[in-house]
Amino acid sequence: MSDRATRLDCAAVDEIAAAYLLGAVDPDEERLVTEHLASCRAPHAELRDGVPGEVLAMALAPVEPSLELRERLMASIARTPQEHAAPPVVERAPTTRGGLLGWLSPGWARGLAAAGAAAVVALAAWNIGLQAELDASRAVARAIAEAEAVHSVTGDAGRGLLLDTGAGAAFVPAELDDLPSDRLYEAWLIPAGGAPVAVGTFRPGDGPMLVPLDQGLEGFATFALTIERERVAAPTGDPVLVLALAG
Amino acid sequence: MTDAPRDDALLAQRIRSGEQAALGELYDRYASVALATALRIVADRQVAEDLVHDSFVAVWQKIDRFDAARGTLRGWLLTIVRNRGIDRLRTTRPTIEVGTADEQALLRTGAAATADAALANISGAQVRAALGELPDEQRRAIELAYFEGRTYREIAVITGVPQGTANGRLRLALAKLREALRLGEGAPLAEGSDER
Repeated sequence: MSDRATRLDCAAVDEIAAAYLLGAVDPDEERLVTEHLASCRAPHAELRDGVPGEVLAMALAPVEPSLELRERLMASIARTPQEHAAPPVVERAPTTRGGLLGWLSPGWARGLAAAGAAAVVALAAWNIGLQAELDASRAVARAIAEAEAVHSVTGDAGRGLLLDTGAGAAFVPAELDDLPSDRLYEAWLIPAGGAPVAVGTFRPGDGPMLVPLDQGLEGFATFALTIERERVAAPTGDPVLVLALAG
Repeated sequence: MTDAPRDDALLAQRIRSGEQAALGELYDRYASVALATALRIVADRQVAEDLVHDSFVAVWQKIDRFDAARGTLRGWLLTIVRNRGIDRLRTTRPTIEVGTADEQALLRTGAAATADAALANISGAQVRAALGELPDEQRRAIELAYFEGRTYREIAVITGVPQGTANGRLRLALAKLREALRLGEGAPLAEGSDER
């Protein structure tokens, strides 16, 4: 579709209207049609009056769900905030870049503690709202919805969500800085007065992603990210994202 | 399945206000058609139920984005179910090369129009009858598109026809459905289409 790389005219939009309604166009075409419709005053009757793909679903014989599904759904709803009703995000003050020793120093740790124990922040909707590709992130959405606690993590590199899943933990990058090709983010959990424990590495992707951590949050006082060349056993640089955990 | 979601807008308002029972009503109303859709796409009962669960959760979370002027709550829900199902399919199957590198890009579900209010008074039986009137190749084309997430370029490869023919089959199929279901005045059939 190189000839359509930049825009579509009305005739081209009408030509693929049916495919568009059925979700059967390439991503570039989808974007171009959407952009065209946003600025075009032509009626485009085939789109306006067209048969939505939903009609095909209506033709299917209904399938009754299991009894358990409704119960599971209502339990999920009860702990899932709505986007428009989500409470304010509790932000953490970004860590000052004082070197790793300062990062782990008792004074710094007390400062974090004074800033407040980690809040359970209902951030699923906030995060999802920032992600245009939510519908492609089933695993992320589900993990957020089912997490026992969702913490906002901010710092010089951006922000993310730390999920306490009960059985473990995971990190969801939200607006993290891109990295050079030879760098990655490494996640750390740090016990009070102890050394950082490496719990995972990742590179930010184009869409929502879930980074399972090697260990759960219990017993740790701090979560942090550093930027490394490869997975290392001890941080080599300053933390770019930090969160003080409760307890 | 309830075929006349006339009070979807009211239900959406109640969900938007945070009334969990309203979401339960939405589930009771459309869970069976949502599951039928998911099951048709992923062909796995447990996966399909997970998709339905996640889709209703998404409706709950994002209800503020729903615009009743653009379509029905049912249409929105089913679009979410369908898109999530297709996303799952696409993670587990190889892509089909259809020509240029641009065309090999990972597929994404189109934001199908939700101007579906006219469907509120149409029954599943009517839709099935209308689909039954379509030529096999046109019905196959729209099923590949909607239930399998194939683009018209991929449909062309799968069915062994030129892209224009595949696209034309989609156009003709929807035009015939629109006419059979009396969903509009009817746009002219595709000029240059090679099938009627």
